[in-house]
Amino acid sequence: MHPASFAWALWCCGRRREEAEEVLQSAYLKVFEGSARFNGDSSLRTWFFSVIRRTATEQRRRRWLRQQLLERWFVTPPEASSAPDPEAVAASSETSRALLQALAALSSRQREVLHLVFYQDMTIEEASRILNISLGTARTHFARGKQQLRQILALTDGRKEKRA
Amino acid sequence: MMADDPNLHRDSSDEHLRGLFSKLRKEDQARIPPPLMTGPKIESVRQRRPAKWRPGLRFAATVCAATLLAALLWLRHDLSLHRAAPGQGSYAPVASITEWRPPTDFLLNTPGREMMRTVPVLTPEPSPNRAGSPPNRKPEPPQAAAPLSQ
Repeated sequence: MHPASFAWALWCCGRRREEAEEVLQSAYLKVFEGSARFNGDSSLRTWFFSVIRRTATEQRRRRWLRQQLLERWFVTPPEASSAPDPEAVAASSETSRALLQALAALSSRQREVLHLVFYQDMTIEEASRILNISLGTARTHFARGKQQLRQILALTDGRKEKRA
Repeated sequence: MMADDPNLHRDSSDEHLRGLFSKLRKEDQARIPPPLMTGPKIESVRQRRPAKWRPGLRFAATVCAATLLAALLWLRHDLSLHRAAPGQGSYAPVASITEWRPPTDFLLNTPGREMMRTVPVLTPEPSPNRAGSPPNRKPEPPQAAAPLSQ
């Protein structure tokens, strides 16, 4: 479960590796310290994924607030990079890079649903539980995201063929 | 509501996307960090998390909040008392509308305004036997009453 959790944390943090590691550790600590409790309403994986997502959101909010306060009252803080980990980008294959670029053009909800269904092999219902949205909304995001992703990938393939 | 069938979204057109995602997953799995950090790294994560409220701290915060609330209520009550009793303290009494004088009243004090307020004294009507007399004739002064004969 750890690899899947890390991949989800990575996704929730815009594929920034260090941030994802921190989020995952914070989520583990929440579970160990008992501040996040599993009540058996869903599967363990679904529950833990929602804990990771919530932790990532909290961390992002905290970071944003800190940045805003520092900028306003003190000095300009060292800018946290919003770009994905360059090392990971370099290590990924061309097809994966194209997929990541195409995914970056989608809305975050569409990206999350597609990740949970295609990458994590979950059902749309499980995805809707993790994202705390209705099943119908999740289905809509899934269908629209898939359609857009196909269009973007087709465009990218077309450009490659032209270059060749 | 219909239950979500896992195979519902497994149509053949998705296989291409599934393949792309599974390739990405395989590449990601080569760079998975260990499950738990140790040493200073985990401490830094622990420190960055918001501190949990200790019971003592929570009690102190509650007492502070209650004191502040009580002070605010008391202040408000005090203010309303001052307002209710006119003429006391620093609050000026509210003048009655009948006693109030407009501050620009003096502007109405124009010269000759007495003429507007007094009624002119009219002379008595001339008698019919003096109808032919000129109009500018001075009116005769009223005759003094004859003294009573003894």
